[in-house]
Amino acid sequence: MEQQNKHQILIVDDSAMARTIIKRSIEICGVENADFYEAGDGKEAIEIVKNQKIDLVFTDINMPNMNGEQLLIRLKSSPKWFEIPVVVITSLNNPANEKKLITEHATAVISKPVTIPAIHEVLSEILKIL
Amino acid sequence: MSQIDSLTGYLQQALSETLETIIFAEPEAYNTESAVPEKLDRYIHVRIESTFPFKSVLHLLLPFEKIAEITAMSAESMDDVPESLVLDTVSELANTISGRWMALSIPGDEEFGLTLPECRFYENGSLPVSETASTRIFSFALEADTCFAILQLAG
Repeated sequence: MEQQNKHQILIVDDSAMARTIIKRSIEICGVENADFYEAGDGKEAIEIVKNQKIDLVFTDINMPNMNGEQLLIRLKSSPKWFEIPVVVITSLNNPANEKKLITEHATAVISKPVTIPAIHEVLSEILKIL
Repeated sequence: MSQIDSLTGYLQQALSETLETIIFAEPEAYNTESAVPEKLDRYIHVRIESTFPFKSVLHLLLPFEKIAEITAMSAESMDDVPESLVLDTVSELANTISGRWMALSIPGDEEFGLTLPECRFYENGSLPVSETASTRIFSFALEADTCFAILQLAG
């Protein structure tokens, strides 16, 4: 398939193991036609978004340098990047945090530990609009 | 039940849920009568603090070889995994366990804060943790290996 038909998915987490788990979970959910990009914090993620046409971001919250909430706010404050769906995967989740992140335009919030059903539910909604 | 005992119960629940989901191994034989061994041989110590709404320090002690085995399986590599990757695995486990623990421990409408995990490998050393009335220590089995958790409530 042509490059432009592939999903360009960015996974942001300071843990290499977490990035692997998230990537595998996405693949298990049937998203095989994708290019995956990885970043260890929000700053690295911004550099990738500047240089690649990313169409979906999964990000952790608790990271050094630029955390996931700062990344979310940065992406959503840019007209160029506002439409990119951002899924927050966090160990800091509770209803209050989730409400705050949704207010800041997160597309969805998933609690760690990540489960396949949780990723599947979110992807099935997002892939309809990509 | 005191706050520290209640928090200890939630911590055991968070450990069970997280380890079963991530590494498909459920912790067993929780023992609250445990003490941390004086000499820790090839253990990884991870420390993480809750900053609000209550202050506490959580320590986990996990056997290096067990975590290396889990890391190798996750990385789908039979080769020796570097120590940095093993520490990364422990850090991620601690991050997830502590987040789940806080979510269980406080009402749903309250926010909470956690520091980033700090990991250290102990070849043959002792853990500098002093026990107080607000300290709870317990061990648990992860398959054939023994792990330890220490919870210290501040104030």
